[in-house]
Amino acid sequence: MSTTEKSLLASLVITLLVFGNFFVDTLEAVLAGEPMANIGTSLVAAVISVIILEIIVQSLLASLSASQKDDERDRLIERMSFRNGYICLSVGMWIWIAQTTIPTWWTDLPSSPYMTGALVPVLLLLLFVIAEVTVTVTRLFYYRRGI
Amino acid sequence: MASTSIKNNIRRLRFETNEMTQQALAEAVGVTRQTIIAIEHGKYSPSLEIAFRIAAAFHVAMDDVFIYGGLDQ
Repeated sequence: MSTTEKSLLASLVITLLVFGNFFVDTLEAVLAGEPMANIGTSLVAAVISVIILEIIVQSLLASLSASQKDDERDRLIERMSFRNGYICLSVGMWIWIAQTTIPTWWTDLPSSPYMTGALVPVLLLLLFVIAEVTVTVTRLFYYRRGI
Repeated sequence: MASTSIKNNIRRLRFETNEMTQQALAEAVGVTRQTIIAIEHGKYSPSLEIAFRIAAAFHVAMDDVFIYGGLDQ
């Protein structure tokens, strides 16, 4: 396994652990009606945790292996993976738009209660994290299976 | 969708060129060793520029390195 793959795998594990924990706790808190201030604090804590863990793990990986420059294959894999992440984000956004607008356009039904209020920023962040995980997973896939 | 099938003789050419290592070829071409491995195993088709650089590293013509196998329908 190359240094790039190890680095990607480490980022994936950190993101899944920290944000996975954040989203489980936050969705429970929002559904229980806790104030947004607590969620904001949890979000800041999650982001700081990711930054600190990334610095430690990536520094360790860099010290254990020789530095490696990117080449055309790395850049191609990165572009293809970002495209996949963008597709994922777009699909999520369109689902979001449909959920919040379609019921109010054609019927008198209110939009889904899960797509409004305190859940909006949490679900938007979830969408971005899912897109980011898609980018990392597809990069790992392309490195393993080839392009 | 049609996909291209490009085979190569990089492994054989490396051994015929003083048993050149993948790392040495990567440095001569200006890519990473992982890219050379991917090209050798047919997991990545390099750009025209990299293909020319690989051929230049072995002092051979490009069609001595890469063989186009036609379209797989």
